[in-house]
Amino acid sequence: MAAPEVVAALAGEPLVDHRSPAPAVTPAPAPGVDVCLLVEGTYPYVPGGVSSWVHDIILGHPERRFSVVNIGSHPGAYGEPRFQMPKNVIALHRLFCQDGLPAALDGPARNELAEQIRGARARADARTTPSRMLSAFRRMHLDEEVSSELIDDLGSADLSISELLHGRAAFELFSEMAERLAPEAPFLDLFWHFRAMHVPMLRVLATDPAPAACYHAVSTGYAGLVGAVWSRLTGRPLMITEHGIYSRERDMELARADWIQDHHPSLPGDGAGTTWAPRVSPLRRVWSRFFRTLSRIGYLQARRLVTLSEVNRRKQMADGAPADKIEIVPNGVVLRGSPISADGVDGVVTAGRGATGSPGDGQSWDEGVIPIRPAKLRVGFVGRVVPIKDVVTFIKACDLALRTVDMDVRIIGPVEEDPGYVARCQSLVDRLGRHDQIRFLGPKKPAEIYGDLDVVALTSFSEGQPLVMLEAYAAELPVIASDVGACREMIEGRTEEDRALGPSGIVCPVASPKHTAAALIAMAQDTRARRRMGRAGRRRVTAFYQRRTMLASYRALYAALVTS
Amino acid sequence: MTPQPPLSSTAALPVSPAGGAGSATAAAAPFGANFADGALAAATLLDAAGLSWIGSHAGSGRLLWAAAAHLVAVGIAVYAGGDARSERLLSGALTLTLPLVGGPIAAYLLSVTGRNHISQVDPRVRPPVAALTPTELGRMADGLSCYEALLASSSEERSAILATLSRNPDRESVALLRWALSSSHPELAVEAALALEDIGATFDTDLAAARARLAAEPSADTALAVAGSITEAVEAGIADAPLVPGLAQEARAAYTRAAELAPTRLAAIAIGRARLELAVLRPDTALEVIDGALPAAAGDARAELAALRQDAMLASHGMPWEGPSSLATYRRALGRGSTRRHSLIQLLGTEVTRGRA
Repeated sequence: MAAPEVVAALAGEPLVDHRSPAPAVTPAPAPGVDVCLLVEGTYPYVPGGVSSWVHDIILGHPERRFSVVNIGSHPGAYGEPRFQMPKNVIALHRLFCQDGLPAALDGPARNELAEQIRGARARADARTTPSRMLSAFRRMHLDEEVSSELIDDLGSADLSISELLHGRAAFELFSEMAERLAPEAPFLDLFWHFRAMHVPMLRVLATDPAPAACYHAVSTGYAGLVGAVWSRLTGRPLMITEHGIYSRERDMELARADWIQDHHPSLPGDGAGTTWAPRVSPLRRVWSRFFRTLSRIGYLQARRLVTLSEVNRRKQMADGAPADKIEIVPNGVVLRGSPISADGVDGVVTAGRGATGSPGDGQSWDEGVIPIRPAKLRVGFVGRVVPIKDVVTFIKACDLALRTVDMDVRIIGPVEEDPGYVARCQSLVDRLGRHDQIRFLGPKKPAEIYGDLDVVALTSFSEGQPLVMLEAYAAELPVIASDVGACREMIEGRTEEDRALGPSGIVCPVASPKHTAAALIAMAQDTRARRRMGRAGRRRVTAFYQRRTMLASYRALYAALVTS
Repeated sequence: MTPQPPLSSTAALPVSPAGGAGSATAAAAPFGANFADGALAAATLLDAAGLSWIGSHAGSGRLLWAAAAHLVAVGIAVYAGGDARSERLLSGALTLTLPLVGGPIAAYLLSVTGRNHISQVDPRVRPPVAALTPTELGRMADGLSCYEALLASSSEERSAILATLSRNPDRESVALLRWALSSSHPELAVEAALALEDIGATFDTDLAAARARLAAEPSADTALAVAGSITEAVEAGIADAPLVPGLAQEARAAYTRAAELAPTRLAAIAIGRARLELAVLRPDTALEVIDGALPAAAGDARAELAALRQDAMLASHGMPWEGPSSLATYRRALGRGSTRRHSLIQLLGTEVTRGRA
C-alpha cells in the first residue's frame, strides 16, 4: 500500500524505490474497469456542483464500470462520504498529498529521527544513477518543458520522499531553482515551498496505476497529472473535463493565500529603506507557474479535453490547450412535466409553481393548482455559503431592493464549510435589520427548492457552468447572475439559435449590490418580463442543457476512448 | 538613419527631387550669405543713385532713369538677394516696395537666426530619434501609473498590485479597487472584487475582536479601538453605505464611553470623533465636538484639532458669510498631524514597479 510506505520513507526508513499499488477503500481494484475517474478533493466527500456532476455521470452510464480515485490533501481532511456509491463503482481509491500532522518528538525520538535522516542522506548520496524524476522537476521549472518524455520521467517514480528531503542532488536542484526562479526571495522560504510543492507529486505518483480502459480526470492539477502519468504508463487514453479553469482558480487562491509570506525589499535608491511599491511575489509566481505547468501536462497527454462553455474553451486555449482536442459539453439536467407553461395573465403564477412544490420527483407541472401571485417576490440564493459565492453581495443587494419592493429571501445551501463566513453573513443580515426578510434555510433537496421561488440569484466571484441555473431554468425560473464563467452565455445564449430564445435572466457585474438590486426590483415589478425570462430559460435548458444530451456526448466519448 | 543638421531660416530646405535636403540647399544657394548681402547693398546703392539723379536733374527723363535704376535694383535683389528662393523673393519684394530702405531691411531680416525662424521640413525625412538611456527605459517600464499597470500588466503583476492595495486599505486604495471592480477587464474586476471582499472581511473580523475586547475589559483603550476601527473604515470607504449610520452610532457611543473612562484624553477622543463626523458628512457635529475640546487642547492635539476645524468649516460651509449647509462635500485631506500617513496611491503613482521575472 502506498500510504504506509510513504510514511515510512518520511521517517527515514529504507528508500521505497518500487511502485506501490493504489490503495482502495472499498473492494480491491477489479479488472474490467472501463473508466477510472480522477477527482481532486471532491467526490464523494465534499458536496457541491462537481461532486454532483461526477455522481450523475456514474449514474448515467450504468453500462460502464467505474473506479474513482480521490486525491485528497491529508488523511482525516474529509469526513464520511456524502454520496452513496452507485453499484457500477467497482473501487474507490484514496491518495493523499500530505501525511497527517506529525506527533511532537521528545529527546530520544528526536535523536532517533536525526539518525534516520543521516542514514537516508547517506543512502541518497550513494545513488549511482541520477533520478529521472529530479531531472523532470528541473525541466518543469527551469525550462518550462512539457513533453511526453517529461511525463515518462515523472512516471518513473525513481525518487523517494526521503531522497527529495535529504538528498544532496535534490538540495542542489532546489538551490539552482532558487537562484534562477526567485533570487530575490529568501532561500529558506523557497526551500520549504519547493518541498511542499514536490512531496505531493512524489506521493501521488508513487502509486501504481489503477487499472482501467481509460482515465477521466475531472480537473487538471494533481488529478490531471496522475491521469497523464497513468495514461503514459498503461497506454490507455486520458480525457480531462474542466469545470472551472484549474490554473485560474489556483491563481485566485494564491493571490489571497496567507500561507505565503511576502518580503518587500526596498527599491534601489529608496532612501526611506522601505517602499509600498508592489512587487510580484516570487513565491506566488513559482506556485502559479507550477500549477500552470500541471495543467499543460494534462492538456498535452489528454486525448480529449471537455469544457463546459465557450468562455472556458478560450481560457484553456490561452493556457496552451490544443484547440482540436477541446469539445464543449454543457452540463445538463433532467426535465419532467410539460416543458413550457401556457401564457398566463399577469398576477397569476404558472400552473404547478405555486405552493405545491417543484416538478421534480415525478410530479408534473400540470398537476398543481393555480394560486394567486404571492405578495412578495420569492428570491432564492442556492449554493454553499462560502466566500467564493459572495453571499455578502447578495445580502446587500437584497437589502437595497427591499427598500423598494417586498421580497421573501431565502439562502439555501450548506453552511458548515466556512462557519466564520456564515457568521459574517448572518451578522450582516442582523445589522441590516433584515432577519425577517432574509433567512438561512440550510441545504434542501432540489425538489423542495425551486417550486417555492420566483427568482434565483447567483452572485459568485467564480463559476464554471452553475447547475443551479439549469435547475432554475428547468423550473421555469429566471436567474440573476454575476458576469462570471458561463453565466452570461447561459442567460443570453451561446449561439445564434440560442440567443434567438431571448434572455432568461439578467446579468450583473460581479460584486455589485446596486446592479443586483436593480435586477431584483425589475423582476419584482415586471411580472410579465419575469415569466417571459422563465419560459426562455425553460426553452434554453430544453434545447441545450438536457442531461440526456450531456450523457450522450459522454457516452460517445467513453466509447471512443474505451475501444481505442 | 542619416543624421540631419538643425534647420533654420538661413538654411531652409527647398524640397528637391534629388532627395537630400542638404544637397537641395547647396544647389539653390550658389552665392552664399555674403554675396546676398553684397547684392542687397548694390540694390540699395542703385536706388540711392536713382533718387539722387532725380534731385540733381530736371526734366521728365530723370524719372525714367530713376525707375530703370530701381528695376535693376529689384532684379539684383530677386536674383541674388538670398540663398533660398523664398529669401530672394522676400528681398525682391522689399526692394520693390520700399525703395532705398527695402534692401537694408531685407538684409537685416535675413541675418536674424535663432528666434521666430521657420523651418521647412521635408515630410519624407524622418526626424531623428534620440536613443533612450537604460534609466529612461526603466522609468518608462517601471513607472506606470497604477491605473495603467492594473490594465496592462500580467496577471502576476496585477495580483501584486491588488495585494498591495488590499494590505493598505486607505481611502485611495479602496477607491482604486472600486474603479478596478467596475472596469471592463473581467479578470481584473473579479480580482478587485476579491480584494475588496478581503478588506471587508478583515474589517469585520477586527471589529468583532475589538467589540469582544471592549465587552470583556471595558476601558478607554478598548472603547477607542472599537471607535477607531469604525472611523477608519468609514473614512476609507470600506463600510457600505447602508451600514454606515449604524456603525457611526456605535462609534459615537464608544467615543462617549472612552471619554467617561478617561476624561484626561478628551483631545484625542475629540480628534477621533471629529474625523468620524467628517467622514459621515456631519461637519456641523464635528465643529461642535472640536469647539468643545479645542480650548483645553495643547500641543500637537491642538494643531490637529485646529486643522480639523478648518476642514469642518469648509465642509459645512460654516464661513462667516454663510450658514451650515447639508451640501457637505467633505473629503478628508491626507497627511494631518498625528493621523498623518502616507498615501499609498501617491507612492504607487510613481513606483508601481514591475517584478523582475
